[in-house]
Amino acid sequence: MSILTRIASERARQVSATLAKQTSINAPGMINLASGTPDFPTPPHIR
Amino acid sequence: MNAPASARADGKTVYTAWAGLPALREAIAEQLLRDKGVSFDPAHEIIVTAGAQAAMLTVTLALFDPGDEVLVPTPFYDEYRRDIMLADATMVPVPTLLEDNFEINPDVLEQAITPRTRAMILISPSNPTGATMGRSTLERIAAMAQRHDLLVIWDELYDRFVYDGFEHLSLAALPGMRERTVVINGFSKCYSMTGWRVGYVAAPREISDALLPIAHGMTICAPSVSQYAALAAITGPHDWFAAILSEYDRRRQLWMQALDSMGLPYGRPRVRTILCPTSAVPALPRSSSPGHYAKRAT
Repeated sequence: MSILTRIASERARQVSATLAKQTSINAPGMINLASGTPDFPTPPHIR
Repeated sequence: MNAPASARADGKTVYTAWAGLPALREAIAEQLLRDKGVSFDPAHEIIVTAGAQAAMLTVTLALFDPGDEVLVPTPFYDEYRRDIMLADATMVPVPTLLEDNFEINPDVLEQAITPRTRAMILISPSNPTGATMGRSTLERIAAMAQRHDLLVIWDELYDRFVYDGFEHLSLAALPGMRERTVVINGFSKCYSMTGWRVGYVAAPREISDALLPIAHGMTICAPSVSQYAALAAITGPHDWFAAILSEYDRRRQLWMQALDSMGLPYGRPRVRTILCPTSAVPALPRSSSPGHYAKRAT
């Protein structure tokens, strides 16, 4: 059996099964309920 | 020129100390002492990580062995499940209830303890439920942790998003808890700098010594320019945050009014705008509810 027939480890498969796909990221004017990014701007002195 | 731009211009784009910039660790230690009343040595007991997420995985990989059981109140932040899984440890869910505002019941927590229990992971204020823990609950959990000789992973990433006059307390500050508590926090939420990826772990030296090789194995150090940004954040002005908190409180009130008007049950959050209707809502099929939890992540 080729090594290419089973790429992901059992551990990676188990973790993958619990992880929802990233569906979107924040965009201007949109509050993304799933991203976890605050919708206030990073303060200027930090940027 | 702001801090990260200055860092880039000055060529501070190379590895830092594995545990993070000394100045940043000192600032974190000062903040922990000032705001939480808990003292950690910045030289040996604070590790800056590539976000709190990396801190979480560092902790589970460094502290848990296969077969170790880890108590996690539910609903829980899903990444902890994966982190425990990656450590080949076993997550033991401990239910919290809507009618209790999803606050942890120490008695229920204690009933889940077995001889294989090594730690509990507590997120306060909670993601995703918004639940908080008052002093009496914390004292009971602290006594239980000491009675059963357990570690506590104490995630307080949302510690500044509290409302209704609630005072966030750190479990690590309670008598007898500093030596068995691993504090996880970060800069993403309070400073809106999720993309910079800076978090930290604060823990007694014996624990920190175990964490550092794992943290090193993942990223060697947190990104250097990001650490300078975090340093600017933690040492800079904080008065701007009051307006942010006020706006989030306004949204929280709107969410609660809307849910009240629909007759939907929810746990009244005392932190950021997180709400958590249950799957028992008859007019709101799970497929149409936003991921089961009506969660406004900040």
